Amino acid sequence: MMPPVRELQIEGWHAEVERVYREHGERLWRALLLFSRDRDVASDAVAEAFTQALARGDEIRALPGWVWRTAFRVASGELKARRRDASAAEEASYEMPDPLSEVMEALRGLSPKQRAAVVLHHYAGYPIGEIARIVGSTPAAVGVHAHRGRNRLRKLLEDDHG
Amino acid sequence: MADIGTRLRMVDRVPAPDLWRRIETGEPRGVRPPEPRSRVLVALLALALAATGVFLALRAFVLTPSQPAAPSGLSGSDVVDVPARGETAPAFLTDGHPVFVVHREDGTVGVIDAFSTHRPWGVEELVGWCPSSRTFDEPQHGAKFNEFGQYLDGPAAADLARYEVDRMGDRARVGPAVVPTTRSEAPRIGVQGPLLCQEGRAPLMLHRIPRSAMFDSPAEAVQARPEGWIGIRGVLLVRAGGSALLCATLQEGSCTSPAMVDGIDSEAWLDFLGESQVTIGDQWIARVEGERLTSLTRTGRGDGNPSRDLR
Repeated sequence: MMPPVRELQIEGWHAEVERVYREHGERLWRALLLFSRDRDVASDAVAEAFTQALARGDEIRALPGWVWRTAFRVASGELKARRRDASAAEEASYEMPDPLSEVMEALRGLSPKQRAAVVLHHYAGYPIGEIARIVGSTPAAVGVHAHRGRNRLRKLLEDDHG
Repeated sequence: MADIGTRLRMVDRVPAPDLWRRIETGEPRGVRPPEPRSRVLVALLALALAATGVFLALRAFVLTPSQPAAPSGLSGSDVVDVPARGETAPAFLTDGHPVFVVHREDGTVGVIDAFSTHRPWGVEELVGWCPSSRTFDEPQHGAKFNEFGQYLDGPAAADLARYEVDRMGDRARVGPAVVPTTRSEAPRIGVQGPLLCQEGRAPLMLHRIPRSAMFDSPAEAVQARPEGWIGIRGVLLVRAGGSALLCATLQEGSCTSPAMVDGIDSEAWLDFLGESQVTIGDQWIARVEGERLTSLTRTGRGDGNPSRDLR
């Protein structure tokens, strides 16, 4: 006997969310790692975004965009909370390969908005308009952050070699 | 030094954890899971309808309408309603991009781009749906396309773009666009002039831009920096040696509340006409990028004729 329609719908949505997780999850986690420089923040943000997606059901339009937006919002919130709590240590993972830890260190020199713009554009490959939707800003503002962030990052990485 | 992207992509060496188990078993911090539908939903819906009825009655007779909220961009969804068989309906995709949803007699559903492929000098134009001829007609210059978006007649360069469609009962999910670069048929003599739709049982169906997405002036629109598509009424002013401007009004040479417009091939246009200035008043949609308008598009409702409104 066929399961009731409601259960089929949930099953369908569950499968859809998992499909999107398999397709986007790793890249999203790594983008958040670059953004937050913290594995736990990245994991919490990804998990929270997808858990919310499962709970909301198919009222979400354009799931991948929604998940990227939600995950970045959660990560931003977490970073803000940590800045407020001055005693929280800010340690980038020591397990990362060396050239990467250089990049991570340099990323500290960018503001969160610059970091988000640079990571979403140069790592995740999103166009400016899409980034604006993810971070909840305007394309003009994102353009400025991406531009300044990139220049700052270049300078910081060059100085390291200097 | 390797470029920024290459440096950042070194993060791909970091093994990412598989979080799916955690996701499946976790409780979201930010939201309650939805209640079981059926009875609760019906009850809530009934309550909402009743409340709306009461509110509307109050608003009409008692409350003074409050100041309307500042306009924001058009919005829509990538999941569209499918009209009844044989019918076509206008719709807006997520960022406000206008399309038509066509439910053909044979039961197939198509989603066709509402932007004509006739773009004279960079000015875009929306097509309307003509129910009597089952064609998409461009009101300004008479380009015509069939219900599949294929070119039929007039000054258009290619078939209309169409979108991949994933039918879900009486709704459909809209996928990526397929953008043709050629026309389906050999060109015929260009058809000029006004609206070609033989009105028959219904007038040309044009997208209606809601009040909430209409900005009062181009200057206001670029200041607000909305996302996605926006609506503006105004006069396009193209002058020799100057950039194209969209003016709220143009009176005796005075352009009010203007915004600069990108993408207009002013020189070629003026050269073609042998004029030093061109003006076009209309209702437009456009996008805002930085301090300028781009993708300026005529909606075909320039004369504000109420008989053209979709009801």
